[in-house]
Amino acid sequence: MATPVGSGAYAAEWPVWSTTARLVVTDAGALGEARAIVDADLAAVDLAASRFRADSEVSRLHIAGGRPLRVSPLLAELVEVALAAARRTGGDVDPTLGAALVALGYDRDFGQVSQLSGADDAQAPTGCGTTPGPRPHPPTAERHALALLTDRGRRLRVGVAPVAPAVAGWRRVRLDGRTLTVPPDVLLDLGATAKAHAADRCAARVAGTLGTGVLVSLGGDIATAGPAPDGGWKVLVRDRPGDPACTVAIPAGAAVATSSTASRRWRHGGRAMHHVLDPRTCRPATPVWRSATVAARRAVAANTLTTAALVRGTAAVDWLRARGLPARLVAADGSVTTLGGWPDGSAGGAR
Amino acid sequence: MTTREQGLRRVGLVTAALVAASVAGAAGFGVLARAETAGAEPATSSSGTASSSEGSSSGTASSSSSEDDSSSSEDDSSAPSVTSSSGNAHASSGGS
Repeated sequence: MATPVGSGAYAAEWPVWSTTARLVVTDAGALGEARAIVDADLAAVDLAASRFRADSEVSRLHIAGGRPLRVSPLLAELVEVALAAARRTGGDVDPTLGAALVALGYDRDFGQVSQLSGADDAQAPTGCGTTPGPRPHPPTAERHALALLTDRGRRLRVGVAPVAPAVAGWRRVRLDGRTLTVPPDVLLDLGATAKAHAADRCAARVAGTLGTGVLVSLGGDIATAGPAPDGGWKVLVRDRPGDPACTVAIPAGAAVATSSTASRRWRHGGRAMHHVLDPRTCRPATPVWRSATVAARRAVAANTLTTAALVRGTAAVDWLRARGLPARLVAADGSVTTLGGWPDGSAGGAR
Repeated sequence: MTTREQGLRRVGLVTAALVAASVAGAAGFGVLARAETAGAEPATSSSGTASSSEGSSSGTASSSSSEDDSSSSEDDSSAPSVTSSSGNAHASSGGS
């Protein structure tokens, strides 16, 4: 059902990937078809890249034990995007941290991680994954992958935080056209870029197919395409309730992403964890920033920078400034730093 | 007793020997260098689609921006305008 949002925009919202998908179009009559397009594309991305499904291509890659596999055009695209993000950030955004996340307890859909571990994240959506309800064991493919890791005497063992390898995992992933080779000790986790790239794909497809203006938000990774409503797309930027908030307008075709060390938290081994890992330590990045937000032309470009900013800590300010994109950093103490033309003191607000 | 001519011949021989040795050494070094480079090629190419200019500083604590590939050929680098707004938002961007 189309819910009017302001003037000339209509929205639908539903759970996906342990977060919320939000679809906004400027043509109310296009919402149903737009939703179908988005659903189909997200299902395709999930089947290609989910590390929580035994039947995904990524799971089959892990079972391949380092042998080259011919993958679907979609997975090749997602891996290419992930490796490009790694290159752009000097490895801060590394798509090969799957095993590290598993070792730290993030071994299933996040809704189930938070249920089983007693998550710190009281706001984490639950029960929105591919298999609702508690799941006592990882899926078959994942167990198989973990068995490969342990049986071959690699550096990783279940439940033990891995040590960063001498050569970063992403440098050892090889993609030649559609032939993908992943070292046997590497588990891909494309989550950092795949979700944002999926938002870009969905927005472009909806606008291209239906000719409507569209905004697609996947857990805060926002992509837009086609014409914007009068005054632009209005976006409330706020990580968690009580955090500093602002409302900004972005033009047609622009994107916004926010990454956080305060959301998606869980406990493992008596310690609080969050999902943004520093590839150099294979541990959660030091939470210098509660959240980082960047506006760019594509959601995946914005998400790449926000993820890298959390990993870089204090060095993120100069690094983001050099990128020249509008950015907003919220420090652990709640203070806000704006860069690259992000409006100072933007108005707070609510959706 | 060594005559002047004998001395010059000896100096010439020694010089020629030194030149030959240095040429041989340079050639040998070049061969070794090529062999070393060839030996390194698989490791370089095993970095997948990483550009050849990238070092292997991973595993260190530094986050050197010298590795960054900022030469995006896409329009990612063009900054969209972000302006302050108010009222009901179309969507929210929070931590993901």
